[in-house]
Amino acid sequence: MNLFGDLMITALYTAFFQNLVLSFAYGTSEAVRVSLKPRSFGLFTVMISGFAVVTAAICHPLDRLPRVSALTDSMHALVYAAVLAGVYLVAAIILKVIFRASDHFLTNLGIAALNTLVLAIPFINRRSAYSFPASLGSGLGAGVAFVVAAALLAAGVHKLSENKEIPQVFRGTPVTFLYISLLSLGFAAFSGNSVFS
Amino acid sequence: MAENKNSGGTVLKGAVIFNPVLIQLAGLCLVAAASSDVITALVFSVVFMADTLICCFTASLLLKKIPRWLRVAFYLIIGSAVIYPVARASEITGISLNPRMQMYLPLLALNSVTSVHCEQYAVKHSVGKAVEDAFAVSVGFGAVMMILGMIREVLGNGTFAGLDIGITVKLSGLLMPFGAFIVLGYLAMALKWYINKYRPEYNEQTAMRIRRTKVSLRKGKIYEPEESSDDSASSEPDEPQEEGITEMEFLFGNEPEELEIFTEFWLPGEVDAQEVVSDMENMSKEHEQFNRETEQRVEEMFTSLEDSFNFEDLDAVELKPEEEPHTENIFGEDFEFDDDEDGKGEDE
Repeated sequence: MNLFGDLMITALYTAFFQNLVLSFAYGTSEAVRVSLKPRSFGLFTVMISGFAVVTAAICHPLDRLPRVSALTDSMHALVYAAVLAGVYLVAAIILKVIFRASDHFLTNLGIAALNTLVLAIPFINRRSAYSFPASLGSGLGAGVAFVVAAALLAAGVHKLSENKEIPQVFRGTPVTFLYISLLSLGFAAFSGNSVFS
Repeated sequence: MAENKNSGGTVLKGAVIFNPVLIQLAGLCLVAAASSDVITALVFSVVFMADTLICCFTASLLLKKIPRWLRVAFYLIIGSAVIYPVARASEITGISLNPRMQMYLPLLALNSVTSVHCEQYAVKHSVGKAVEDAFAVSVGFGAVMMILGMIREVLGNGTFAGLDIGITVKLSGLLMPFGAFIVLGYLAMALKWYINKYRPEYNEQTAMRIRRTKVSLRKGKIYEPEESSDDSASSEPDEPQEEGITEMEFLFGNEPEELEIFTEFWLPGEVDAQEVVSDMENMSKEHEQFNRETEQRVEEMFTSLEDSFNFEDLDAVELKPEEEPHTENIFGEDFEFDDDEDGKGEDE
């Protein structure tokens, strides 16, 4: 029960209170891209959560190995990148060979797996000294955080594109940046940092 | 000379007109998180340039025949190999970056700018052109990083390259990602103003494109609004050009009916041929479904009309023979009509 509680609390914290996409800008570009294609929300959530959870599940025990734990930060980065690349390739080959997945689907799989959000999860888990269930919760929350960010962006960008009162030079990408900044500011409010000093 | 001028134009286009960050919204993670001071921005810009140049060169030279889903893994491996020496050098020499930024350095291996440009340009062009594009993109990315780093460090921390410049009121919120997005918004606005004013020929290409494929039935007209940019797009479809009762209006009435297929936005330089083909296939499926639904509705309507009209009642109706017209004699029964109106016969 305690393990499940750790997992769920970390997932909720990662997704809603410290939304990794909007608070720390991990995977923001991909979130913007996915938000422009609302049909693929569900697919990306599942894919990102899946890759983040599996990568976290492999990296957490690896970090406990004496040889790996003794490595420098730069070597850790290489290990995490290798794990993520391996997980992606295994998943892609299984989907391609067994399930006959189309190239288009595999391209989306690549976007979901190989982005800064998924690679950041093992770093965050290590830095925060998360337990194994908390690491899994962090991965699970990353996928939810991604879809929360993408849904908020999709709704906002759609509304902004209809607003005729926005000055000409602010339309398009400038107002999209300002909208992202407001969302980011909203989530930053949970961090307790001061805006002025 | 002409070639050099052409190259200069390509670099200008790649770095400024189609800026990877301000126009294509790529690489936002690194730009927003790792540009809080000038030194970090400079280091990230240099590493980014090395990563992008090597990735695009390799993609153009070696990876053209490898499937796309496999290539993206190579970009991660190449990127990690490029970044590792920098990270290791930073550890050995003790010249460490901002500790908060240390974690973002390995994430450079997965930046979306490199993968987008490798996929959309490098694998489709010669090595020379791929390297030229990578250089232009790196310059554009680096310029945004440096400008952002300067503004954020000066206003947010009161320093420039680590040196105190005596600013007392510090907007420390600018050091957080939302501060970066605010500055990016104003930079994007400035670039858009420049394009509108001095390069209007690129205005349409650099706009965030919206493609609406909303099939509507209104006043009997089936139409699809055309693709338009956000500057001119409206969510409400335009009024149909032709009005009046048509067959469709007669069948379905005058109420607007809409079947929304999907609404998509495209970022500039984001159009992927494979994706477009897939979307078109989906659209044609939706159209077929719409046609089937329409046929079904027409059929149901005729069926209900047939049901409401009983043909047996029609057979039961007996047609009576035509009766002579009845005229009432207002002058009494004894009075006889005199057909001879002029009374000529009587006189005779």
